Amino acid sequence: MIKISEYIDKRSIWFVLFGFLFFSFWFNGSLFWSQIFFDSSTNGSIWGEVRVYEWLTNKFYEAIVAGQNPFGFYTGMLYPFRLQIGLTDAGNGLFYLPLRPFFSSYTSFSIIMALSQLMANIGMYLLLRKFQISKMVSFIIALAFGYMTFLAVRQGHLNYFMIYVFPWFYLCGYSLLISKEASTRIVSGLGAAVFFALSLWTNFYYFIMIVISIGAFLIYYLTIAKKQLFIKLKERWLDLLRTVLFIILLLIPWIKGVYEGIKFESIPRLPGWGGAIDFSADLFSFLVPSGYNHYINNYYPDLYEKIVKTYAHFAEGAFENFVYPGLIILIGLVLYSILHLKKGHRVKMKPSQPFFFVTIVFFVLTLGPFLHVFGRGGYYLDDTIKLVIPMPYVLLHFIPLFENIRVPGRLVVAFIFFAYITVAYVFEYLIRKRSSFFRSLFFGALLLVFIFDQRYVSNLTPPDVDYPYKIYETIAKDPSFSTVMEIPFTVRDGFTYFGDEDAVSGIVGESYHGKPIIGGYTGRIADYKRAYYYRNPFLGYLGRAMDSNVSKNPIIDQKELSKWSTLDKQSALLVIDFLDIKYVIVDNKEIYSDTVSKTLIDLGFKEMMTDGRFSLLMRPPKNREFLKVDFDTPNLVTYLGMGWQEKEGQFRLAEKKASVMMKLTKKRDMTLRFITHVERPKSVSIDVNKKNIGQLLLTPKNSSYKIDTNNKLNPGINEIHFFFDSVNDDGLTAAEFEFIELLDSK
Amino acid sequence: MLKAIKEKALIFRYEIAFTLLVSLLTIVFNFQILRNVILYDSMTIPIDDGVVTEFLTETEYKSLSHFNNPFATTTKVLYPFETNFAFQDTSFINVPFLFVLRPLLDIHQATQLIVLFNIALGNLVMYLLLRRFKLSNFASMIGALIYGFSPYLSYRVLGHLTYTATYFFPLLMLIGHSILNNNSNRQRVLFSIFWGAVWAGLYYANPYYFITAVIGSLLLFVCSLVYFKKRAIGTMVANLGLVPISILSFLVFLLPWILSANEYLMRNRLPELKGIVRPLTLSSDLMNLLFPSEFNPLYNYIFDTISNKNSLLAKLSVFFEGNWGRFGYPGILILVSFVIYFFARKKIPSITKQYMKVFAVSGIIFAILSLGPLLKVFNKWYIILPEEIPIYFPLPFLALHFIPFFDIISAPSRFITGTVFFGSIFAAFIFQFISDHLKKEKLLKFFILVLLIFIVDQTYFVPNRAPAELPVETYQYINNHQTGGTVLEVPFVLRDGLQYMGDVHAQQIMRGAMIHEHPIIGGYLSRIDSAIFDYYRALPFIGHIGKIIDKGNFHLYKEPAKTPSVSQFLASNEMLLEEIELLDINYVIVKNDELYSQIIQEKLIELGFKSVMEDGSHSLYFRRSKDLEFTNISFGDKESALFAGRNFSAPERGFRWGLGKSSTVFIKTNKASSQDINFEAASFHLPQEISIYLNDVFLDGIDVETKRKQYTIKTKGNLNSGLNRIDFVYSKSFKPSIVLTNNLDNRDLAMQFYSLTLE
Repeated sequence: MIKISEYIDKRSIWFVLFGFLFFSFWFNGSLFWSQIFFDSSTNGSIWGEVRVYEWLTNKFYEAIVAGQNPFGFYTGMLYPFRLQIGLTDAGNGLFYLPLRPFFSSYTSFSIIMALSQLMANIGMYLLLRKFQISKMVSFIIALAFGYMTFLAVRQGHLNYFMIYVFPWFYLCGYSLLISKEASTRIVSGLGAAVFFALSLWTNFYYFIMIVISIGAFLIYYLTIAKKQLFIKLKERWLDLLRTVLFIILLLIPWIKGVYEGIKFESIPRLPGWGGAIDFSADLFSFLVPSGYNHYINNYYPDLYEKIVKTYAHFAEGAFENFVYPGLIILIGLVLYSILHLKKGHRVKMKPSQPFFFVTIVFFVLTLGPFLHVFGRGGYYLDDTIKLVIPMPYVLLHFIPLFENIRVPGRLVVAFIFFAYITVAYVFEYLIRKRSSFFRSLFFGALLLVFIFDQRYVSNLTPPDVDYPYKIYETIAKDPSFSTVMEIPFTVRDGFTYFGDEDAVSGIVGESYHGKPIIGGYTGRIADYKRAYYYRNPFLGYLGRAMDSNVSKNPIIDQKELSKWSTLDKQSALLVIDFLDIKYVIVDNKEIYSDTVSKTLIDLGFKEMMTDGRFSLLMRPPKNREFLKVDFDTPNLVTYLGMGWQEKEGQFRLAEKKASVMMKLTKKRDMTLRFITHVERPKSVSIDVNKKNIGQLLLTPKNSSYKIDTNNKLNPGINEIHFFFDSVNDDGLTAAEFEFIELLDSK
Repeated sequence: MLKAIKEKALIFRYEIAFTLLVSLLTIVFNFQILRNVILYDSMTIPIDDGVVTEFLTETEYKSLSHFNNPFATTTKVLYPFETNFAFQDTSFINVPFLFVLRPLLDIHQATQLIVLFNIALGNLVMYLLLRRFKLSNFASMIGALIYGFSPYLSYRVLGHLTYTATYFFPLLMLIGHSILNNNSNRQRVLFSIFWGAVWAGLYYANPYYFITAVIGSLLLFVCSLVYFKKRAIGTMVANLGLVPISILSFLVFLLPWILSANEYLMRNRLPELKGIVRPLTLSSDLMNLLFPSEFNPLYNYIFDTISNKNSLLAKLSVFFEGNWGRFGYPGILILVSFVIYFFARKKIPSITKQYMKVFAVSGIIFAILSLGPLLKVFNKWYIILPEEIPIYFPLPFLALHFIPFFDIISAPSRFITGTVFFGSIFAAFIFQFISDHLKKEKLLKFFILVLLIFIVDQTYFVPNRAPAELPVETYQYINNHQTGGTVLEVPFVLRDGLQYMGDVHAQQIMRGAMIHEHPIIGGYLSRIDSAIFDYYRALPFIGHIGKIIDKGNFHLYKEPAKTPSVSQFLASNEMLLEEIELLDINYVIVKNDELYSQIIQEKLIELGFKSVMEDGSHSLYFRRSKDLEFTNISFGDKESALFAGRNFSAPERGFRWGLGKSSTVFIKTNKASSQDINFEAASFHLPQEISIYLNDVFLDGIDVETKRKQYTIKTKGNLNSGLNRIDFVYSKSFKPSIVLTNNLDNRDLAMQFYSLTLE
């Protein structure tokens, strides 16, 4: 008997790995592993948001393969604008390198997801072992962490499966602080840097959570064990500095991309709380499990719905504010609290206190900006005075970077991570001196709780979707540069949409034919890009026509709707030629398809082929140049980028950063001429295609300026950016533009 | 004999000196009040809230003189409604003094003298209390002066006269101390009886002070448990038997009030404070704890000087001058005492420190309570977060808003008296501590220095403001005139602490009521049922006059009045006469130099009134009532607003809803008879039993069904000639939003009334 236990103990790591693999195949068999054999992307059975994320990841991978900075700007969706792939949590493209040569994008993606959870299991196990937690407790907690309840509702947001960054970052960080061997500390420092950078690349929320957790630990030690902290910092400052250097080195491409983004993009601004109030947890939502639990979903869906409706209406349809952490955590934290009532227990469990503190920090942050209790977010003292309880999350809203967290409910991942470590200490403390029989019983009970409480549903398959693959192939064969428009299309982000809200699959075609598409769907779209589509004489008309809910779409100005019921053919043709829209794929199942097809044919498009219910229309764009931007023209939006106010008289006011687009048919050196008025002298720096061509001093006396483009212009659409050094008294605008043109240098 | 007096005087030299000092300061600080008492002109009236106290105490005094319950209902004001004094600020504590003063002086003079007496007494009783705590004469005098001349009083002497009875707080503590530290059981019983009586006296003086004392006692009890646990429990157990004695004494002395209150509550609900806006407006700003009184000459001069310097200082000056409703400055000596304590706390003997902590904590808690339900800093009481979400900072007072009895507190800033009381005791301990560490030769200098600081900081001068002229001859004419009836004075006001109708400063009508002794339209009391406002506003004659005489709610001495929006009467003469007849308006006094005077005078002539006398700028119009009968009411008619007195909805499809706990209907008959009351009604939601009162006499209880039905009640000889009040007291009422699905109606509905007739 002793020999068997010794045998198991010596080879425990293999048993542990086998256990993790077993649960991976059990829980994720049909969800991820099956993709190796049955690729869902072949029949289009993929959730819309997964498709977008997978597309972005693939773009990231393609950039690496092409030897480019994956955090730069790439053409793909939302033409004529370019997308900064690297800032869309697409970092998993790194792991495509070994997989893509063998698997489809979606299969590669699924393998990465499954492996992420295995990595999370292993990382958590090793971390807990580092904290002197027994193998048995470490195993069960690592298993529970890897299949955390939060993931049950995230099967459409797969980048939230990257939870391994937490244990691995802290494992490396902890090793860095405690290891006596220099080589271990170097490797650990590098590891911490890698996982820190990975969190930033793969999931910005996780990156923020790691940053907050570091801050919370610092606050804890500065308050409770200041001396201990300073001794450690003094001891390890070199290692920490080295780790910071590693991080900076790893983040150089990212920093470069961010710098370009800040310089050339308008950062989307969150309106108000950006939905944070609705997306934050209710105080009692921590007690309501998910309907996506395997057993609830398959055996008791009606009972669950009835109970939630009756007793927890605030948790009905919970998604972004779903925060149930699982029974293991709830029981563990209750036990922790009970144990802490007695000083003796409290002293013995001291190592767990920092983790408990950080757990509480995240618990409080998860509650969002204002406390909600049983669905009530405030109390009316009077008809007008509503008393709300502000929570610490409010502070985050005013801190740069952290202000981007608009879904406090997602912070529950960090809560769960630190809560599991706390709970591991509790369980370890409780079973430490118990008999092996008790320990086995305890292990068995926990395992059962884990399985029944945390196994998520994995058989929810999205419906099959037909795609016009033949049409894509036809377009792909066309070697010339052109743009593809699919009807319907959408311009959608997490807040608003324009066009057909559900038409998110245009990117599938882009993956096939490789040509930029009109419209797109990503986390956040800058206001000026949305406005470009919304006000564009051609795209604006189509977007409204294909929106079945146009009368209720909050971004649509209902008073202006009648103006958009007809199409100005001349303006539309200018847009089509400017944007090189050569191919239009029409889904004929829509009620507006006929009208749109007729309009397109009227514009000169000809039906080229059909593929199932889809038609391909084609019109070779005219080889025209667009070299003038006359701000006196009423609807100029087709050539405007960011930073322009509405037309006033014969001019438009440019903001501190403004851009226009001009189109050439052949590369040549040209002079940029523009007429502008300024209130007081100021300088303007001008970039063509993101490359600086020089600086000009603008004075109130002059209005006409010229600058050589230094051969930076390319065939096709060129972006010209104006960067002013100061703004007018209104704090927003910088200069009145009347005219911009490109002149041949000769 | 002389020698004995001399010896006595020598023993009590400090007490005598302090009494002289207090008398002198009382006279100096309140010189204007004393001057008004001496040079009183009965033809004028100061325009302040004091007239309310004068009216109430005069009425109570007269009732008591005739051996009636002083808190009995009256129709002297707010005609045709009855007013119960039990839930007003009774000011009854003044009445015993009036028995001495009224035979010699006018009610105004007597009241002002009582105010001066209260102030002086506050100082003296506080001095005795501090001496009881074994503090030196020096510390006791300073502590007593800080308390007795609290800057808070500078505002209260201008109208809130019962707030000058500050002597009750030290008196209660003094008696309480006597009970706890007396070995004679007989004396302890006597003190307990006295203690109960003083509690009752405090309630009669000022209900706010009563609540303050209740909270103060609870705080002392809790703090004592915290700082002197064993001793406090021991004392509590030893004196538990005396509590019933005090309670019994309290109830016996409060009996007249209890009887009157009980009668009122039979037919009405307790006055409730709706919403949080009023406590919010009348709570101290955090900065008010540091901003002194505008009636202090030095501070006033400083703020006057700086107000022109720049916009920030001008804002500070405005803040300083707008202190009235939120004043919370306890005085610099109390504030400095806390600072000294902070720095010297380690040097103070621990037992003394324990005592001081009790007073300090109690004082600070009162200061926090005075800040009201939500924190305000420079009048900013919320910050706006994105999406226009205001964030408020709730304070402990908010909890009181949800506790029965305490929920009627609508002016938290008045809790500052508690801070001043405990703060003064605390300050006295601090000055005792300092004087203990001073050499004898420096002690006098220190005393003079502190006295000077006190005088500079706490001096206030009551401003000399021009009083309003009264048509006293007209009042006397009405008083001597043989005809009864109601008096309408234009301008008039219907006003309480929350709202007003008419001319907000026309409180002279209260003085008129005291002289001519006829019922008046309108009135000014601390609490008026909002149903009375609704009734007045709906009347075509009074309601319209109320509108056209309204000059806005302006501060008489700081803001200009708005020009009233004068317009012709909209209702027909027939309707106006109906109203005049029902309300028996025989006399109308019109101030004839106002914008609205001509329109009203012309209309009065048109309605049959005749000008009977001129009195300075006032004219008196008279019209004898025709004794018309109003015995047939159709509640569905718009015109029935005249008879649907209290707690009725607007007419709806042939009926009106009776709301809340009870409704009042007015009818008029020209002969006392035994007619029956017939009414058609239906109960809302569930059948219920209702009680019917005629002129306060219970007639019968009947069961009302939910379907429309005719009911008959015998009047049993209680029907009077003239206006009669029928009260319907409900046993059930429901909100449709609660009892019916998909209904947003939040009114408290009891019954549907269709018609009422006398047959």
